[in-house]
Amino acid sequence: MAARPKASSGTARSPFGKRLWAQRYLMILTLPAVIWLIIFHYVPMYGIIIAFEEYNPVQGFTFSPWVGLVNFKELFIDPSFLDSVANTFKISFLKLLFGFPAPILLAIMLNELRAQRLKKVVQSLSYLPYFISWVFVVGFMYTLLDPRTGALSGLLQWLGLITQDQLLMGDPKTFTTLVVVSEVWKNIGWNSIIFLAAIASIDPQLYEAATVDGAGRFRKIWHVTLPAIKPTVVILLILNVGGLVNANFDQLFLMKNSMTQDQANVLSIYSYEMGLVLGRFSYGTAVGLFQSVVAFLLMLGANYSSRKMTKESLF
Amino acid sequence: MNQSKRKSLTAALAFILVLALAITGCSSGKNNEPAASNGGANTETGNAANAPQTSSDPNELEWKQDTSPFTFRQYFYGTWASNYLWKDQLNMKQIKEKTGVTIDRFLATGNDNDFLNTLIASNDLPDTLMLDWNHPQVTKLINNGMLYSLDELIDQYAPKLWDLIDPEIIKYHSVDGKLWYLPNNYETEERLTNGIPITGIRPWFVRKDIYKALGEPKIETEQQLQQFLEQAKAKYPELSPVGMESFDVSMWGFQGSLSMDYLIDSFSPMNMENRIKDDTQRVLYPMRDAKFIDAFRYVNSLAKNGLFDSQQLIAKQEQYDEKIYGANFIVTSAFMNGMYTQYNPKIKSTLGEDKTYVVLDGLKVGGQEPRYPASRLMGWQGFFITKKAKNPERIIKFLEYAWSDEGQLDFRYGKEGETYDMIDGLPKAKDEVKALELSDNNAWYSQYGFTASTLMWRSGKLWDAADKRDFDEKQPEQAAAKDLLKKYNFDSFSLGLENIEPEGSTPEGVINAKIKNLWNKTIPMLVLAGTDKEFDDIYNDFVKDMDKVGADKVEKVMYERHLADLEKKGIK
Repeated sequence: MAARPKASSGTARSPFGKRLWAQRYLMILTLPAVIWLIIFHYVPMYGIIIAFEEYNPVQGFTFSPWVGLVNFKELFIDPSFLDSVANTFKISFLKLLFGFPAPILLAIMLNELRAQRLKKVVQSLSYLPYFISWVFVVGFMYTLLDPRTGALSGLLQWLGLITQDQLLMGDPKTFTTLVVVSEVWKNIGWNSIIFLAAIASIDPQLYEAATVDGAGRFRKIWHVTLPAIKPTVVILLILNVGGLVNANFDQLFLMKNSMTQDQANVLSIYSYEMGLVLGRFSYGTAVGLFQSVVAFLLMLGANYSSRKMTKESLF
Repeated sequence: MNQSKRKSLTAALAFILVLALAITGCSSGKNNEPAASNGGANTETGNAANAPQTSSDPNELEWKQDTSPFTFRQYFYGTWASNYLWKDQLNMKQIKEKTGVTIDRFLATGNDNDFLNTLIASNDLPDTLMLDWNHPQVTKLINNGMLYSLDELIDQYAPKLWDLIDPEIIKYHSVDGKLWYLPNNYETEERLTNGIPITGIRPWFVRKDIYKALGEPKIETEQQLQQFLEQAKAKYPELSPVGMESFDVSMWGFQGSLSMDYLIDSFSPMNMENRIKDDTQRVLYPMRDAKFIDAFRYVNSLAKNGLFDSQQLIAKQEQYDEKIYGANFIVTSAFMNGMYTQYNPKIKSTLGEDKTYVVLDGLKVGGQEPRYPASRLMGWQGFFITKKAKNPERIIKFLEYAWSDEGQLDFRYGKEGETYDMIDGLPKAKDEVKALELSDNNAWYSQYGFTASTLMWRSGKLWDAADKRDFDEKQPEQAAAKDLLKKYNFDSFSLGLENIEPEGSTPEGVINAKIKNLWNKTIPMLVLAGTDKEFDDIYNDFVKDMDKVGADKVEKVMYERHLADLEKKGIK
């Protein structure tokens, strides 16, 4: 070893290579995830090109006849597609509006709880629904909201909030509300965990200092807790904005029925219906590609504006 | 030491990289497979190793030349068909012993249509498909070159199969002059007069005890039915008054729910004839027929009077099933055979015989008798051989066996003397076999596997007559129900309305899909309309929307396809 000091490639490495080498064990640890990402997220991306083809499975991705932008031209004059864009943004925006602040509020409220046992119980109960699959959740909803036999429907009828025969799951007017409420109910507890963690890492001295300065509970939340979790909030917000075009497929697909089919028609469902149900593979892929591109642009936009306004950003 | 450590590390890294490449390599290798296996298919089929016995009899069918072990894969379109999977049922063993063939049959995971489209899109079809011959994707399979034409295989490997196939089938089912599949359940013309009577609709039934409790009133008109429901509802408020199968236009057709046929054929007995307009060369959408719409108006009036649970408009088929099993409906519509072989036996054993259902007669609206279309079946599923088949020779030969009289008897009855006897020239299952079939259908399937192995049902006097004899003898209740409704049957074969909707990927097909979507959401709105005026407004808006998206173009194409159907049937 000492006989061949020059042979050690370490000195010849660029700073990047040097850092890579120094972190080699960590790199190996990430390798499986990277391979997984490549296989399941990058390799299939090749299939995107069928959006520009008249796809024939026998000829495959590579040799199907090329048609250029024909599918996209049809897309932008297809009223159902335009409806699906509008629905996607409407549902996602409402989910963001109500679904994003809710877990932050829950986390802060939990943090202010003095009874530790109660806090634990509430926390566990609130994140349990996250582990129930949408199939069950929507199944419960159909049962609970059955106008004749549903318990929840019965309660709402008794309270006079709905009429005797109101079919909540089949009403275009109540559809969006149910979508947002069920989504918030299902995810609020789980999403609050990350904020609770952020709050837990706040230096207690800050609170002590605030107390000394005479700050009350709300003052402390406003001046200590919220600023401290701001980076977490901003980064999650950026990620969420990127997901604006991904209205939850599972949930909407299951909640969709003949009476709410127009409201539930979002991009991912439209793409599925064109591609897998009708077998228009290329057209369905074009819808999906559009969705991905918009998602990417939205995320870039959110990242940019956040960097400008709050100095916090993903990259 | 440090260096050796580094070396082993590099080796580990290299190994992981190779692994990664191998995995990705696999997935891209798969994409290249079709070309290779297509080319390879024919060369593999020689199969000289299994020396065929030299056949002495020139009339002997070709399948007998090679009975060495052979397995092919088959996708069956229908997730309900778990009884059709090949396990170790008696019939599967017999057929395997005789022909050497095992069918590795599988069902879709999840939704059938999606599963089929995924198989097509990934070019990952199995050797064979059992798929509805009029499924919209059949054209795509043919046009994409994903299928062997049977002509070519029969000519080459099993020419004697030509003598077994009814020329009518070849004429009706050929596409572009070639036969791409062999349809099962193709019924010949005498089917309407012979065999078990056809019930072309989902009849409506009433719960026995309720009907008795209310004094068995006459239910022959739509008003009488409504009055009966009102009285019954007053007495049994906890029950759901009317049970109907799930509503889904894209799945069941323009009647929305299969249960609607019973009403539609009463309110508009001529609804099929009314669609055909030779003067303007159009086959109209049935929704243009005011009397067709009256059937929905009737359901609306039931709903307005609290006699129809709105939840049914959005319920799934399973929820309806569950409610029938629980005898939760006063009156319910159901598939005739399902009622007598599944629902009623289950109700009888769990809730008691008084809660079983009895069939209602057809409804007469305005003094008119209903008319139920009872066309013979032009086939149900086709047997398709895909270009992915590794040994099409053995498969077509197996098809020859399945289609032969021998294959038909084997598939339905098993071995003579063992599971059936010939009595007065007709096959008859042994008593214990028939008894199990009627008392525990699933146990019968898993023990014997009859009618589940080849699935190539075809008409034949021998077994059709035997079926009819067994049916009258063993299922008198259902036989009586079928006889009751038989009088309303008419032969819709000559109308030429089979398979007339445009193909999904054509511009007209896209319009048709949109119209189905529109109609799908209009039906619940019609049923739930608060007033007659509201009902009419919703209906008129629908017609306007339908015309706006281009209904006329589809109606023109449907007329063309109607003419083609007539021509294939040899009518014009």
